[in-house]
Amino acid sequence: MSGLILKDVSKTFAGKRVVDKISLTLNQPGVYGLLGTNGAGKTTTIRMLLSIITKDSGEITWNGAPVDRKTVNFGYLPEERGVYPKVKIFDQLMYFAELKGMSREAATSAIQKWAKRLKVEEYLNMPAEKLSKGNQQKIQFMTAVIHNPDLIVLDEPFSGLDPVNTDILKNIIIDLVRQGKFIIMSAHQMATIEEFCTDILILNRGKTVLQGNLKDIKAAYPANRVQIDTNKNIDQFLKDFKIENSKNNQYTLKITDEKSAHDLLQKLVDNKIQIDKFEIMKPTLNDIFIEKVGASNEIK
Amino acid sequence: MLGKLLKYDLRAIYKPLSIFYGIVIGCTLLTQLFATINSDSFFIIFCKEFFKGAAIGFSIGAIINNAMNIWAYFRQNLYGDRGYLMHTLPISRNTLLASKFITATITSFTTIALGIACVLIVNGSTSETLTIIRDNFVTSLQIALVFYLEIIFVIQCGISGTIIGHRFNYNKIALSIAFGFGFFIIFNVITTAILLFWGYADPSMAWIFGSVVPPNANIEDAMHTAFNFASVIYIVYIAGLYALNTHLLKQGIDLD
Repeated sequence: MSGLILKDVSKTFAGKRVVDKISLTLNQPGVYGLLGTNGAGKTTTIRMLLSIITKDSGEITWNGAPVDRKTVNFGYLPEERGVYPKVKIFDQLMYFAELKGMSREAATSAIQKWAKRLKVEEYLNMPAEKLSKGNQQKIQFMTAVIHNPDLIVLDEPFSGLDPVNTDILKNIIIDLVRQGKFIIMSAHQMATIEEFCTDILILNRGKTVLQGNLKDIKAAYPANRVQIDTNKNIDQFLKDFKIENSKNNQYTLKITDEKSAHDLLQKLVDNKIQIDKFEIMKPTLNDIFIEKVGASNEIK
Repeated sequence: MLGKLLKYDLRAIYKPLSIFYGIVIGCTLLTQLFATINSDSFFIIFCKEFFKGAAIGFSIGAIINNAMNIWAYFRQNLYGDRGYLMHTLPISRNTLLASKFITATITSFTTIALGIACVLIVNGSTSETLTIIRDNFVTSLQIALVFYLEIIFVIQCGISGTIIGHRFNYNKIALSIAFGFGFFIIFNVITTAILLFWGYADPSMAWIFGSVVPPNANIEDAMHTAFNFASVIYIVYIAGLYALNTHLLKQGIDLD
C-alpha cells in the first residue's frame, strides 16, 4: 500500500505509556493534522515516525516497507532546535542540503530559490541567532523542504510568523500538496488545521480520541450555532436562545437543533425584520476538540 | 555520504585545533629563533625558555582539545539539539559513527605528529634530533604508535561513555563521563593484570614493574615485545569499543 501507515504504535517512558496503540494512514498527497493537549503524545509520535526515538511496538511503513531514513526522503521542521544559532544561514542550509544528497550546485540554486520565495535573501550571510523568531522559522522550513522530500513533517510551522509570512507559508504548503507531497502537521491553531487538513487525529494522554476525514467528522455533528446579521435589535425574539455574542445587531446564538433555527427565521420574516445574514453553522473543530478532549481550548 | 559527512566533521574539529596548531608552530619557530642568538642576556634566555614551554604546553593542550572537541561534537550531533535534524538525514548511524571515528584518527594523528615534532625541535637542534630518531627508529616508532593508539582508545572510551550514559540518564552528562572513565579504568586494569601475569611467566618482562630482571634477559627485546603487545591490545580495545558503539546505536536513540 502506498503512503504512510502507522499501526498500533506505542511508546512508554519511565513506566508511563505516552503513546498507546496509535494508528493512522496517509495514502494520498495531502495534509494530515495531529491535534492534542500538552503531553498528548503528538511530538513523541512524530519522533517515532522519524526514528529520532524508538517505538516499543507497532509498525511504521512507507509505501509498504518499514520506515528507514535511508529509503524515505524526509523533511522535518521541528517545533524548536532546528537551527544552529552560531552558524551562517547559507552554511547551515548547504550543510543539510549536501548531507541530504544534493550536489553543491543544486543546493546553491535551491537555497537561492527558497530564500527568494520566503523573502530571506538578505539574511543568508548572517548567523541564525541574529534573526527574528519568524525568520528563523522560515529558515527551519527551508531546511525541511530544500531537498524536495516526499514526506514532510511540520511541527508548529506557523509559530512566530506574522500574518504576511503566515500567508506566504500557507501558499507554499498548498503548492507542496499540489506537487504530490505527503504532509503531517501538528499545529496550535484549530483554524489552521481546518484550513489545510483532509484527515485529522486527536490525541489525549497518548490515546486516540477522534480520527478520520475532517469533512466526515464535521458532517456527523449537528449544527450548534446560528449567525444573524440584521438592521435592528431583535433581542425580543431571542429569549429562548443562549446568545454567545451580540454586537451592532450581529448575533451568534447557540442552538440545540436545526428546527429551532428555522422557527426563529420564520418568526423574523413574519415580523418583517430585514435579514442581511442568517447562517446555521456546524461546530468548529475547536468545539469538537473541546467536546472530545473535555479540556480547555488552549491546546498543546 | 560518508565523504560529505567527513568533510564537515573534519572542518568542525580542525577549526578550533587550527588555533592550537598556529600557536604551537609559532612558539616552536620563536624558540628556534631565540636559540640561534648567541647571547647570555636574561631576556633572550627567558624568551627561549618561555616559547619552548609554551610550545610543549600547547602541544599537550592540542591533544586534550582534540579529544574533548570530538566528545563534545559527537554528543552535540547525536544527542544534543543538533541531533533532531541529524537523525532525520539519510545517513545511517553506522556512517555517523564511522565518520566520527575516522575524524578522530586523522585529527589525533596530525595533532600528535605536530606535538612530537615540536617537542623534538624545541629540545635540541634538528640534526641531533634526527640522529636520535635514526638510531632508535623502531623504538621511537613503537612509542609514537602506542601513544597514538592510546589517544584513540581514550577518545573511544569517551564516545562509549556518552552512548551508554545517555541510555541511562538521557541528557545529563555526569553519567556519560563516569561510564567513559569507567571504561578507561577497567581496560587499563585488564592490561596491567595481563602484563603482571606475563611478568611472572617471563621474568624479562618484569622490567615494566621495576622488578629485578635476570642478568641474561634482553631488555631491548622485552621492550619491543611490550610495545607490540600494547599496540595490539589497544587495537583490540578500540575495535571492541567500536563494535559496542555500533551495536548500541543500532538499538536506537531516544532524544528527550
